[in-house]
Amino acid sequence: VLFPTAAFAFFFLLLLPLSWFLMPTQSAWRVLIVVASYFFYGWWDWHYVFLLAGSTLANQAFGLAIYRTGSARWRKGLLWLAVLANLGVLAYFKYAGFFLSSALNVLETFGADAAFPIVSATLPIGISFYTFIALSYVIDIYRGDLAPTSLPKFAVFLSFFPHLVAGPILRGSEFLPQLDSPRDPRKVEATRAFFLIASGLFMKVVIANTLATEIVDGVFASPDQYSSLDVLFGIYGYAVQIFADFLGYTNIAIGLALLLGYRFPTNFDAPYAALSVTDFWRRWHITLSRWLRDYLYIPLGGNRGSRAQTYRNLMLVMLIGGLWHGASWTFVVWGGIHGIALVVERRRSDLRRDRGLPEPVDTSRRRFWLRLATFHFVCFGWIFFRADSFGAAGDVIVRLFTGWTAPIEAVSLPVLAAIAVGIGGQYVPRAFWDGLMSWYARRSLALQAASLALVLLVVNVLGPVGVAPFIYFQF
Amino acid sequence: MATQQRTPETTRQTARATWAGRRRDRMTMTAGRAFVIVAVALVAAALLTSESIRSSISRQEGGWRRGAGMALTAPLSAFATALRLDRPREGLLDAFGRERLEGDDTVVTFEPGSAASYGPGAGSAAEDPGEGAANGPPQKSAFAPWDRMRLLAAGDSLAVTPGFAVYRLAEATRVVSAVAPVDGRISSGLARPDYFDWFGHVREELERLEPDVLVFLIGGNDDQDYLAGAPVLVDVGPFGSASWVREYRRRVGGVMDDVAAQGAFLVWIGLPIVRDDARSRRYAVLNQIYRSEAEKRPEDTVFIDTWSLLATEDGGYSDYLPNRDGELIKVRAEDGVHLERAGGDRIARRVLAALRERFDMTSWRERG
Repeated sequence: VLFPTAAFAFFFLLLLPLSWFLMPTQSAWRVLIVVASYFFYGWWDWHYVFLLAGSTLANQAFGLAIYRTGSARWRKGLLWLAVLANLGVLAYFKYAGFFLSSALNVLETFGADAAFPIVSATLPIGISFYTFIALSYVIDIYRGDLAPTSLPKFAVFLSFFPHLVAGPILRGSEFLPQLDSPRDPRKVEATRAFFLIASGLFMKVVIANTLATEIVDGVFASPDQYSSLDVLFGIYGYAVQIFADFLGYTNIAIGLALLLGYRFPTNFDAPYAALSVTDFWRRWHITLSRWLRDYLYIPLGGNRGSRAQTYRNLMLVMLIGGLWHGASWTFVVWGGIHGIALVVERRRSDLRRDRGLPEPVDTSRRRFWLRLATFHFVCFGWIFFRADSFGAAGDVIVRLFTGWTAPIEAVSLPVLAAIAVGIGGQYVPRAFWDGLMSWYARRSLALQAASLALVLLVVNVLGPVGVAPFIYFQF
Repeated sequence: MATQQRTPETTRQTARATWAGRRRDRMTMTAGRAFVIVAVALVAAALLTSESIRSSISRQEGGWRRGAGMALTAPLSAFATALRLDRPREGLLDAFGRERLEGDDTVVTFEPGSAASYGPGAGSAAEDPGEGAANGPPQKSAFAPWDRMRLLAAGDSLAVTPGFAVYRLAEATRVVSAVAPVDGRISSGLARPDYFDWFGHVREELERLEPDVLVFLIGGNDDQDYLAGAPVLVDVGPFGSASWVREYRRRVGGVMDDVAAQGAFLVWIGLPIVRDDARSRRYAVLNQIYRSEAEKRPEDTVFIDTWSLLATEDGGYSDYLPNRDGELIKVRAEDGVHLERAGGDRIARRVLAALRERFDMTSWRERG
C-alpha cells in the first residue's frame, strides 16, 4: 500500500487503536504487527510475502546458529553463508538481468558466441532495504554486538511496515530494545509525528510529484525539446524531486512509527546545505551511509591501512553503494563520481595535515561558495542517476550548453516555487520548527485535528492527480 | 560522592534540559488523544476530498478492492455532497487554477455518422473504406523545412517515452515540428472517461493545435472489466467478452474517426508485450481491436505493432534486447510495463518509417 492513499489511511486508522489496545500483551501485539505488516506488503503482490517470511526464518536461524556455535571457524563459515544467501536472493531479483546481459556483451566483444536466457524477474519492493537490515542483524550477532532476539521480535523488526519498503535502514541495537517492553501510552510523541507525516505528504505529493510531471520527466526523456534553462532547472528539479520524494517517505515512516510508540533514526539532515561531498554523505540517506561504513568500509580496512588503501576503500564503497541503487552502469558511474570526490577531499585534507597548514578560516562567504559548489556537484551526479543510459545522460549535458537560444518550455512558477521550497526548507533553523511544534502542541484537540485535515486538503488540491510510486521503492 | 559545582554554564545546561524536558512533555500526548486527532482529521479530510478519493478508487482495476472502496466511499460522498462539504476543495482548486479531473459517468458519444455512433448511419464511415481506394492511392502530402509537419504525441503514461523519442527522431528530419510536449496522462485510458475524457480531449486538442499527425498510444490501463460511459442499457460484461469488445471497439473507432474528421493522420501505437503473462494476454486482445479498427481506415490511420518489436526471438518478454549491433541493452523499465529510452527509440524508428511511407518528407531536398 502506498502511504499517500485512502487505502493506507483506512488501514492505519484501524491498526492504530488496535495496536495500543494490544500493547500490554506483547505476544499478541507482535502477532498483530507481523500480520498487519505482511498484509501491507502483500497488498502489492502477495507472492512476495513468502520471500519476506523466508528471509525472516533464514536470518533468525543464521543468527542463532552463529551465536550458539563455539568454533570461530564455524561462526565465520555460517556468517559467509548468511551473507551469500542474502546477497544471492538480492542478486537474483535485482542484478541477474544486468550481470547476464553485461557478461553476454563482453563475451560477444571477444568474439565468443554465447547464449543464455536473460532473467527478467519482478523486483520485490523493499528487498534492498530489508536485506540490509537482516544482514546487519546477523553481522552484529557475529561481532558480539547483539544477542539474538526471539523469532517474533525479529519478525517485527524485519517486517515492521513503516520501514519495510524504503527504510530507514534500522539497526538491531536501536530498535530491538524498544521491543523489550510495552510502549507507554501516556507519552506518545504525536506532535512530532503529525508534523513529520504532514510535511512528508507535502514533500512527496506536492513538491516531488509537481517537479516530476512539470519539468523533470520531460527534460530527461527528451532534452532536445527544451532550452538550456529548462534543462538546468530540470536537473535542479530532479535534485529536489528525489530529496522530497525520499524525505517525504522517510518522514511519513518515522511519524507513523512514533504514533505506534517507536522511534526510528533520522535519515536526512539538510543535505543540500552540505559544505563538501563528505559532508553531503553525512546528511543524505544517513542510515545507508552508516550501513556502508560499518559493514563494508570498516571490514575493508577503513582508514586503518595506508592512504592508498583508504582511498581504494572509499572508492569501492561508493561504487558498491551506487550499484545498490540500481542494476545499471549509470548508477555505478554515479557512485564512482562521488567516490572520486570523496577521495579528492580526503587527499586534500591529508596533504594539508602533512604540510601543517591550518584549516581555512570559516567565513559565511566561504560557506556560501562551498555549498553552491557542493550542490552543483551533487546535481551533476544526479544526471547519471536519473538518466536511463549514458547516451541519455550525455544528451542532457550537451543540451545544457547548446540550447540557450531555444524558447523556454518548462520553467514555470510552480516549478520555481517547488525548487525554492525544497532547497530553502533546508535552511530554516530547527528552532523555527521546534517553536511551531510547541505552538501546535498547546492548541486544543479540535484545532489540532482541524489543522491536520486542512493540510491533507491542501495536499490533495496542490498535488498532481494520481500517486506516483516513491522513487526509492525500486531500490 | 562527587558533587558538581554550579557554574553559569551548568546552570544554563540545567535550564536548557528542564526546558527541553517540559517541551518534550508538551509534545507528547496520550495514545487515546493521538488516535482521536488522527481519526477526526482523516474523517474530516475524507469528507472534504470525497470526490477525489472516489475518483482515485474508481480508477483502480476491477476486483474486490475497487468494489469495497466504492461501497465504502458511496455514503461518504453522498453525505459530503449533501452538506456541500466538497465546496472548499472546489474553491481551492479554482483559486490555485488546478485541473478538476473527476467527472461524471456520461455516455461516450461521437458525431452522427461515425462508425462509433449509435443510431441511423452508424458504422458507415468505417465500413466503407474502399471509397477513397477506388480513385487509386492518394498523392502523398509533402513537407519541407519551410512547411513542416505539425506533430502531436499523446496517450497514457506508456506514451511518454516513445512520444518523446518520436519527437526527437522526427525533428531530426528537419521537416517535422512538435506542436506541444508529449501529452501523457497517468492512469488514463479509453475505459474510464469519468477519470479522464480522452474523447473530448482529443477533439479539443486537435482543434486547438491543428496537428497534421497524431501519434497515439493508449490502452495500458484499459485491461479492466469496467467501462465507464457505456450507453444506458448496454451491458459491457467482463473484459474480453463479446459485449465488452464491441463497446471498446466503438470507442477506438470513434477516436479514429474523430481524428480523421479533424484532418489529421493518426499513428496508433499498439501495446507492447509486458512481463506479466496474464496482462500480456489482455493487451493482445486490445491490440487486436486497435489493429482491426485501423485496418478499416487505411487512409487515415496506421497501426504500429510494438509487440514483435519488443519481444524476444521466441516471442517472450525480456528487459534486455539486442540493438542493431547485437549488444544487449535494457529496453524496459523496472515495472516490466513501461519503456526505457532504448525501447522508446525502437518504437520511434518504426513510427518514423510509417510516416515516411505515408508522407513525402524528402523531395524538398531535390526541390532545393
